[in-house]
Amino acid sequence: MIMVVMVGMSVAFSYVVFYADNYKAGIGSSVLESLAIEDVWVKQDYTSVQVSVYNVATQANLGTDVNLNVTAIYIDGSALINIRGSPNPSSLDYNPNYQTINFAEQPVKAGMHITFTCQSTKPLGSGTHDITITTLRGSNIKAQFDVA
Amino acid sequence: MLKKLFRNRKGTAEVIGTIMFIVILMFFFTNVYLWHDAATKDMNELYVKKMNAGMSISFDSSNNQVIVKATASDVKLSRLWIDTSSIHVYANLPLNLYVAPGDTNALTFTFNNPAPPNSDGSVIVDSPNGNTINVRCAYDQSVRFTIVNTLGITVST
Repeated sequence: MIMVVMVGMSVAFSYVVFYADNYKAGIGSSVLESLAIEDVWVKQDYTSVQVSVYNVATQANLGTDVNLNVTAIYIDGSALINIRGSPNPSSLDYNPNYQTINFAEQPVKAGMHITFTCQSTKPLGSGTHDITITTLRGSNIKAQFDVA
Repeated sequence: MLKKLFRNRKGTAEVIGTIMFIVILMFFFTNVYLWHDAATKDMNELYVKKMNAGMSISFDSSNNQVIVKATASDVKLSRLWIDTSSIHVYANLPLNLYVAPGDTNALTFTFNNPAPPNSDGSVIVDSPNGNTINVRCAYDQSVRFTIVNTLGITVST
């Protein structure tokens, strides 16, 4: 019986170690996520938007690299649609991240700058707008930008 | 009484199991708590670094120069954005481009020999010449410059 208990508890201990490591790498790392919104470009049609972000959670800054996935981008509370665009650099709707359909499909690795090409469902007129980026782990990054 | 209790081998496995279960629970919560504590400390250190990484950027339109100064501690620059009404382009700055505090250590960006931007929106940056860096980019009167450092601080003209 003692043998059975020892084996059972060893299995339980292994699972707990595995679970704790998964927690730390997953949802627990939300506390370490740090994303900077570098640039928001609202194009002249007032609905096409390019959002450039920079993942600051690098080993140099935090002691560890924390990759993240953007799940949604909101401007003034309305979600942007991540468009496919065109792979042709000479095209007007050229999108360097052509393969990306959903934001989350493109991981933002530590130290990486990335531009998301998006479409707003309503025109973004002149003035100051609020932008919120949500990540897969549940962090919210907020900023403001101006449209001339 | 005590001797009897210790000689009685019934339930030993249950006692060992219970103790190990409690030890495993304590291990889990201690492990996660200490890790979370260290992670929060790392983030707080990053906030402190950000607070100490003051920068200023100014555009000298008469000389077509952008001047970046560090106002607190050393800052390591990452990108310079050049935004006009028709296009937003960026210059990926050389690695290990530090700006030390003080007017004499200010970094000057010039914009000679403009060239078209690359397909990804980046522009060509010449090798630094002392505290001067030439960015091969044309811009119009509506230009706005934004400097980004490696801590994610952005400052615009």
